[in-house]
Amino acid sequence: MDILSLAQDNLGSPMVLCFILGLGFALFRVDLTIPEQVARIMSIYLLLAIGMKGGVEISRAGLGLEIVASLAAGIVLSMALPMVAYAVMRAATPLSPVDAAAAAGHYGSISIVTFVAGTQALTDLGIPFSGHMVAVAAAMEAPAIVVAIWLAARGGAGRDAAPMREILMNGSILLLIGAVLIGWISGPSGFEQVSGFLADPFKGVLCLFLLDMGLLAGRYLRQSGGVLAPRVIAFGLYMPLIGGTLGAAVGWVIGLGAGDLTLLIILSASASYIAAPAALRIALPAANPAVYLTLSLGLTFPFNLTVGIPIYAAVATAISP
Amino acid sequence: MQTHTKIRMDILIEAPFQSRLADLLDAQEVSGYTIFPALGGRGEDGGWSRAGQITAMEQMLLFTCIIDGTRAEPLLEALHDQLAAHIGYVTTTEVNVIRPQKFP
Repeated sequence: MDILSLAQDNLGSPMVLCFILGLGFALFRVDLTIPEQVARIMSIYLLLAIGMKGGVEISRAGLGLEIVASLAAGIVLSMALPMVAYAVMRAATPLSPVDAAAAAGHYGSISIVTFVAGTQALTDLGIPFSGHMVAVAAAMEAPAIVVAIWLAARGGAGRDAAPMREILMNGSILLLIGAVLIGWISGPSGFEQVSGFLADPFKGVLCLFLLDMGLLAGRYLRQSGGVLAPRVIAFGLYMPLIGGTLGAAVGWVIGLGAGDLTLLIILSASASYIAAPAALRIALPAANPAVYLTLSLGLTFPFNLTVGIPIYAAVATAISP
Repeated sequence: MQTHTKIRMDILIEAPFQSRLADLLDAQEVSGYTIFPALGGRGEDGGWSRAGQITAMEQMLLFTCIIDGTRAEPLLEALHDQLAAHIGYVTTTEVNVIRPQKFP
């Protein structure tokens, strides 16, 4: 598939255009805000919708070896990516061990919004993907956080009291897992009953949510120069490509099809800004949150949404069996 | 009207620590406190706003409690032990109340 036409389709989609609009508004300080409670409701809606859709697809396809292989690949990547990110940051940026460890945890964990945007792009392109990839997304959230805490301890940073409760009881991870289970148990007929709410308005809600994400990302991007050194800013733009390459290699080894491989690359390339920040803020209070939030939300998220997804889809299409 | 001197403690803290601070205040047997949400602000690493946030990660909360002066020092020490590395502040102010039994 031609990468330029993929990029054109992606940048011309209403979802990405809404994100770019929000980003532009924030950069030019346009007076527009989306109320916090509306943003939270939308994020819950999207997690519920994407989780249930994935669960329904699992109930259709049944549980197979491919699911186990994909879950294992996701968990391995989630544990390996923070180590790679940490090593790169320590070698190529002036970040302290604790800041590098905290940021590394974000790059092993995933961005569910990038994943949702990826599934929407694949749907628009007519590339099929498996519903169980949403379970892979959920499985990749927590291992990276644990590895990041270990990296920080190894680097000599003190950590706060046991953060396991915040890691295991994270609402967004559990909601996603719960929604997958609901979709799996209730099946296509169950989903049919709620599709008027969870399927039909999905794209519209995603547009509004990405407008909000654009506003948020633009705010971080505006401050990035004051918070991050140029080499750290560069890391936020090339690390998705390193993560994506590792994801592509692992996905290729286990023989994923083009759609699933694209999603595994997207998950590996993305950086968390929901589950990881909350857990790592508690676990590693000495790490500067402005560093990891600006990296994941202000740099990596916009990169993946606008440039990354078409690249990942093109690579996956080219190398998948 | 007769008034009584007590200590008001204001603790500005990151929202993810809300339950931990509440546990600490319970452990210190602080009988009452009120939590106020902050709308936004600015620190040494830039500004933040509550608007549009999809998690509580980057939000701040203000805990306010009024306690007897004899209990201020142990509470400050416990707060320092737990919160020294965190964003925020703790302030104490002498205040006058009309019902001292409500603020042991």
